Amino acid sequence: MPRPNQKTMRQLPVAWLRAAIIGAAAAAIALGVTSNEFMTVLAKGVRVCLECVGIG
Amino acid sequence: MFGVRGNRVKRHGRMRTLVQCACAALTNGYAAGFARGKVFSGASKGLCVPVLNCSSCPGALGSCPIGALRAAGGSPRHTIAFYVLGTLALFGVVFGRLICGFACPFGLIQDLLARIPAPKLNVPAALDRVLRKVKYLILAFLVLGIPAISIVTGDSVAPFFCKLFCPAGTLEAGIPLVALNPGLRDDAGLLFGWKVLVLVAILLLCVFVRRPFCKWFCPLGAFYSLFNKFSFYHMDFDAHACVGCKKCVHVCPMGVDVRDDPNNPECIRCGSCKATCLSHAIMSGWKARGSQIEKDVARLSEPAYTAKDRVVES
Repeated sequence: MPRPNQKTMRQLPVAWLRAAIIGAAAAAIALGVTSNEFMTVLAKGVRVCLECVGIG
Repeated sequence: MFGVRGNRVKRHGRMRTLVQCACAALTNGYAAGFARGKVFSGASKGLCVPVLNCSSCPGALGSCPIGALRAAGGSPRHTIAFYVLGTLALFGVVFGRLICGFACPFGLIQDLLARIPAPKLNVPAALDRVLRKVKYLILAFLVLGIPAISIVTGDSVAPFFCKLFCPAGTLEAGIPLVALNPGLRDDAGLLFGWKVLVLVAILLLCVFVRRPFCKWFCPLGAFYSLFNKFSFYHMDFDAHACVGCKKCVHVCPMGVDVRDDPNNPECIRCGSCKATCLSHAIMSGWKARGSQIEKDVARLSEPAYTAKDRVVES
């Protein structure tokens, strides 16, 4: 029986998956920010979206 | 015994409502927007909030991820919304659907409406199973698919989810802006009427069914549900401690049996099951807990005396 602080074999792939997703997410955020996606989101956010409001 | 459980459940409910109100205030903190009928135009609008909170809400300090996905993905400059998807994935892998249970303003509204004393409808299991798939279809086609189509055709397409359906947008943005701006009021027509109708239908449903929008229609909940199985924050169930009272099943707003699957994709991690369980069989948190009884057995099976305990006489 594994000790309480020992990772089981089932937990190891989960740990790797989490690490992979965090890495991919961080890379995606960095890529998006460097390609000015932040400014695109900002430009949309500061204007009233008439379609979202139900006008346009 | 009942009194102890009742107090714990009430305390937990109050704490969760407090956290939900705090998160709603944090994401919609621009009070001046409601007074002036204008949206916030600060730099924080470039940040995606992890909850369903319309960017056009006069108080919104950040951008709605669904609206941001449509703005960034499929625009001429960006083929894939890396920044938005990366942000959502980061929140998903850390919290899973804990965000739905504790942070979402529309979740708060659904929880408050569910407190209205009205008979709760028993949705037939077959219908419920079909409806639970609808949010994934909305995510796949209306939220992710539409920008993908616009990448191929090169034309910008309307945000169909936001335009035709999103009740959070109508409640948080449509109604306040139309009420505060005479110009917008004159322009409000059939589309606005349709959106108000959808909002009223969903709010009415919330009185008779718990969290119907989260269960059946929310694309953001559908996205986060993909991370529930392996997010850092997770639920644990100790089968050895469970006495089989099934209180956890009755109290769950999402109809999840935590005993079968503690990290079910439908679980919003509200903690109601944990608060109601008096045998402490349900745990939640960041560390892998395992069974307390298994740990006790492991500890008791260790030898009481080892060589290092031997006292060396001088």
